[in-house]
Amino acid sequence: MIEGVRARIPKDYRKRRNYHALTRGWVVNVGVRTEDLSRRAPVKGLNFGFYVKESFKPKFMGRKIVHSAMDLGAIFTPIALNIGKTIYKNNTAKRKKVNVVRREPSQAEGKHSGPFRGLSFKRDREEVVNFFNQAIIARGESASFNANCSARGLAKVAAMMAGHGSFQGKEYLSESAWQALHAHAEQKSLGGTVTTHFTQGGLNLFTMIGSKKNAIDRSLNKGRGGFYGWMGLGGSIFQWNTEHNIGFAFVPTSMHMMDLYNERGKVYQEEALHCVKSIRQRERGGQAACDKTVINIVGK
Amino acid sequence: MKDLFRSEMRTKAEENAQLCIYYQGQLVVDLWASKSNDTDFTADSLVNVFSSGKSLETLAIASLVDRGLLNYNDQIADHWPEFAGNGKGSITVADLMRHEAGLVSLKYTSIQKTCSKRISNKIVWAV
Repeated sequence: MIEGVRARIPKDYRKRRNYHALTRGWVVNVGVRTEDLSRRAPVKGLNFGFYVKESFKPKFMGRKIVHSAMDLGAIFTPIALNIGKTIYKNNTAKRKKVNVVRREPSQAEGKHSGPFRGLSFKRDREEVVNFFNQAIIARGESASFNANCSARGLAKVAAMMAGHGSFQGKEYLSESAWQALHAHAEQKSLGGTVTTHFTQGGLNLFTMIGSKKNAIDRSLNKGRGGFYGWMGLGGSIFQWNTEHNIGFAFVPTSMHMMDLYNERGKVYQEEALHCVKSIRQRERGGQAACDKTVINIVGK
Repeated sequence: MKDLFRSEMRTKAEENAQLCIYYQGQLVVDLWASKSNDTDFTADSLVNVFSSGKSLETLAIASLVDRGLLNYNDQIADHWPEFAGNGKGSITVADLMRHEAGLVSLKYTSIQKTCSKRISNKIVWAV
């Protein structure tokens, strides 16, 4: 499909940053196959998910992180759709945010709807979710939109990235490759709406520095300043903060189409930053506003 | 954090959720919950994370860079000659990873011919 792209790519494509929702993953998949998998002996089911696991050592992952065709028997959790429900249903303090996200669906159905064009939220939403709940889709090789992961697996990788490619004393990515991945964060509007700072390696640096002071930019960036990475439609977050050495993952099964900037999970990022800053302040002799035990919780 | 997680599970329209945080390489938060007491949902359940997978793509490319097989300034066509067709020859790896390769919409691809319009629309809509 990518090879068949017609010469309709804008001549000034480098000046524009428009979200490659699907295509980036497909091209990366070919790159991995071309530069790595083709050098191996043929193995049935060898794919992108296998490559990620293999490259970062299955032993390191410990638990399953990426569902791939190698795990045909693995069970994944169906997602559910909550577009009809109010996101902040009992939280009056958050009402203002509801107004912000509520504008989005109407825009999405308008003539400037971009990828939403031609679809009705009311008519197609259940069908769309069921489409992604099919096992055959979960086994696909579209890393840009159907990696099946747990928060534990993602957070462990995020911790490794927050630690400059090393995790608990072992190096998984060299410092030079890590630096290259995080280098040259360039500020540019994504699709003309929201300010992003993507590095040459494809990570977004979330920051209000250089961002517009409007509601959309605040929704995306404020409260997760200093985090690198990206997030998924419906609510998931897979990011890391290199300054404070935080690896973070939030994985919900309930998709909120109106939570376009993943603010449900952002509250935990804000809290983590608050706690870490308080710990560091206390270590420097200041008064801590947050007890360390608050974040030192493990378990259900 | 646990109190916050519990509160968010109550006040927002969540069904199941996992939250995991490392600080300085140590696991400090490992929470999960199911509002409907779904016993099949655990901390290790696999869930479609949609575009969060894009950061896994960056790791895959970074590992190729690490091994000297690829550079961000390389043209994609250097590694995939067929990609160069129809004016895409100068697109670099960095262009692609920054979402600046012009491959923004499936209207530029032949997916509409490959898949039914309805299926392809579903994919685009959901990402």
